[in-house]
Amino acid sequence: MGESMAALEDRSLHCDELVVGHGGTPLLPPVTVAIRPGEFWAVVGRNGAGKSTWIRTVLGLLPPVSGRVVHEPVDLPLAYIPQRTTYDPIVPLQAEAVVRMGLERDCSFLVPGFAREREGEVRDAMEAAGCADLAGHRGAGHNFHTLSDGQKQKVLLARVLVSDPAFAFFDEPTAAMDVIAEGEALSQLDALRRELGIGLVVVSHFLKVAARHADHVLFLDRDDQIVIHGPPDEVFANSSFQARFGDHALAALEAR
Amino acid sequence: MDGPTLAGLIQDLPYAWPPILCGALAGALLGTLGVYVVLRRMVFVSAAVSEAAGLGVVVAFAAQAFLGLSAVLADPLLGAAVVALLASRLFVDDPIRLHLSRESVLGMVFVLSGSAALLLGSRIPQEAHDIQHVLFGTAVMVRWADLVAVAVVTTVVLTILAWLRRGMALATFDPDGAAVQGLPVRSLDLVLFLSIGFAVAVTTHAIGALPVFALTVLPAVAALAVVRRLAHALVLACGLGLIAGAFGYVIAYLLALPVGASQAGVAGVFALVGIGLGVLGKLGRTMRMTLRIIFVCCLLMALGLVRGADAHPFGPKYYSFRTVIVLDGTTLKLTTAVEAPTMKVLEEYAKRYGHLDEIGEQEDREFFELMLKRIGDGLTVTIDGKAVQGSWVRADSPINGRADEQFFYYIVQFEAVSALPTGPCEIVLTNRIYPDEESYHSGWIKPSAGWEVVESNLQSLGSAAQAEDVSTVDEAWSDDVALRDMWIRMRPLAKEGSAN
Repeated sequence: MGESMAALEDRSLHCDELVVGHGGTPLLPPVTVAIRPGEFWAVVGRNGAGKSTWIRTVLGLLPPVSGRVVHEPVDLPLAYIPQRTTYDPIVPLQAEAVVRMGLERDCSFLVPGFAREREGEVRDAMEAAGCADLAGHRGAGHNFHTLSDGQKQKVLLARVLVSDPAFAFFDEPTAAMDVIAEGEALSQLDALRRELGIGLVVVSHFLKVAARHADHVLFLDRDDQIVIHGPPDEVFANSSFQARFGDHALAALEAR
Repeated sequence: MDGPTLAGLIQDLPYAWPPILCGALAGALLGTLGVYVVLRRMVFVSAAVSEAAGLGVVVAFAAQAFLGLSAVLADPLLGAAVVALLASRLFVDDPIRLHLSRESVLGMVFVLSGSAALLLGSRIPQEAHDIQHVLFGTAVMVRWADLVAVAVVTTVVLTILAWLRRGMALATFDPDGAAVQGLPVRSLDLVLFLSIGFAVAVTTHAIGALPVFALTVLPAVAALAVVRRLAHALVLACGLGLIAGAFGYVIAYLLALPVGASQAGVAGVFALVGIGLGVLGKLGRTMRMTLRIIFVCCLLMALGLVRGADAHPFGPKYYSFRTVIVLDGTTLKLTTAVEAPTMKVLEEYAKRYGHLDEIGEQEDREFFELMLKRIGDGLTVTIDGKAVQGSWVRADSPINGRADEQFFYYIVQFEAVSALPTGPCEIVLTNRIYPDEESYHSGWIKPSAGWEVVESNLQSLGSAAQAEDVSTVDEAWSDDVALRDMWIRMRPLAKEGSAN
């Protein structure tokens, strides 16, 4: 990975006049942004604003209506934690197995023993994410499906770390957490991006998150067909943004 | 009386190993694939694929009938494979874009293939049972070609699954995450679904639809209920499927049961035990202990039941003969049905032709005639000690020469051509078919106008309503192994008004 680390600063993810939507119907106006390593992007907007659609399109899981997503250089390693985990509870799954999934990249699964050789990375990532106690195969406590939401989030974070991505996307990572747990989780993310230089894109409808940690905010609104992006203060000062979120939210922002 | 025994099975092993091996291979293959089938919530996939294969057979027959294609080009098996794979291909794309669940796609394929096959089937010369015959083998008589096909598909698919295991697991758990990490999710899905299509089509042809459905679902259910890791679930389901496929045959042999249903039954027991163990794991300690004790008691009782279960007197080791005699003053008619144990027939076949490979039509017919002749030669009809002229000919019955899982049926008929007596007489049927084999012979007489039975070792068929078709006589079979010959002493009924 040393080679790619050297090129870290040159990496970027460009959205070029990107229009997202379903079945060819545009949801939002075109967006042109460039996301760089070490940046913390908060994607904000009300419910149904098109946030999830936007990041799923950037990730390549949905085809763009028009415009394109450009990886610089090509095929940057990405990571994605969807809104609530989509793992089916009938799947037998242990915490460590979830983390190990992050090891695979492209067709690496064709190489026998590939995962076994990198077992140490799994432990390190779980250590870094603060869930080393959940490693190992024995005991009902390590069944992924029976973990608390906070523990699940740590395991998923470990999965992201082990995949060594250039950019990591989180859709509502703290939706199921209380305020304290949420604050801890985001501080942890923030520390990791500073340490590892990962570019973070976090969807959240908690504006405080955006205000405290993000250096870039992307505000999406489907009803008013508005897309605004820029530094947090600039976006929060925008009149369209203020009209959408109202005084209450803005007061909370002031109090940060 | 001796029922079928394990020793008997070991003796019959030269003829029993192909179906046992075939069941084991199919079980291992379908059990492993079944884990993915169950995890992707598509347990009806095997029903849908075999229905699609049925449509393929009909389409091939229709192409021969309407388009004049040769049987080589429009081979029914080829048709079955092609349509089954096309159906499997349909399951690859997530139908959520069309606002459908995968379950409804399965249902549609099942129903539409089934009805299309019926509609098209009504316009072609082949009968429904011809189509069934092409589609479904019975596990007792595995054709050599089927065994080879199952072995090849099992080896290839299990190798691929083992190789692609990590990718397949990730694509199953978390398709989005896998796609973001650059895994070829669609290709992996394509490989999985085509493997399922291939496996279902090939194994259905070899062992039948019911055991295929059972082996696709039940071992996986059992495994997923007790393990916490996917790799363990795959290995366990593979092993349970293998055991169910092989052991199901053994149970069927010992208890004289249909093979496919026994395989399904064994797999079902695994699933119930698995779910039971899974539930146990979630309960408190006292509750767990109590239930465990009850569970073990039930298991012991079930084992006792299996051991104590009385084997059918006509288990698959014994020949069984059934004869109906009709004498109505002008004609004497006998119909004899022979149920010959499948193993013994295959043994005889192998002795004659030196192989049990796919049986050619010519050989098949020749062998059938041979069996009928052997049966006719073993039967002699005498009246008052004098041989009656006439010949034993094949009876016109749809099951004549056919096999179910335990027996081959041969049915012959005799009609006397020499003059019949007008006064009291004794009719004797001497049975010397397979004189060295243990057998059961049951005989019935149909009461005839103008005659009465003075004495006989036959049973009366009661009312005249009973057909002469021996295949439908099912009352009061003899279980006396010494009884072979049938005899009746009869006399004409006294004319009204005359002296005794």
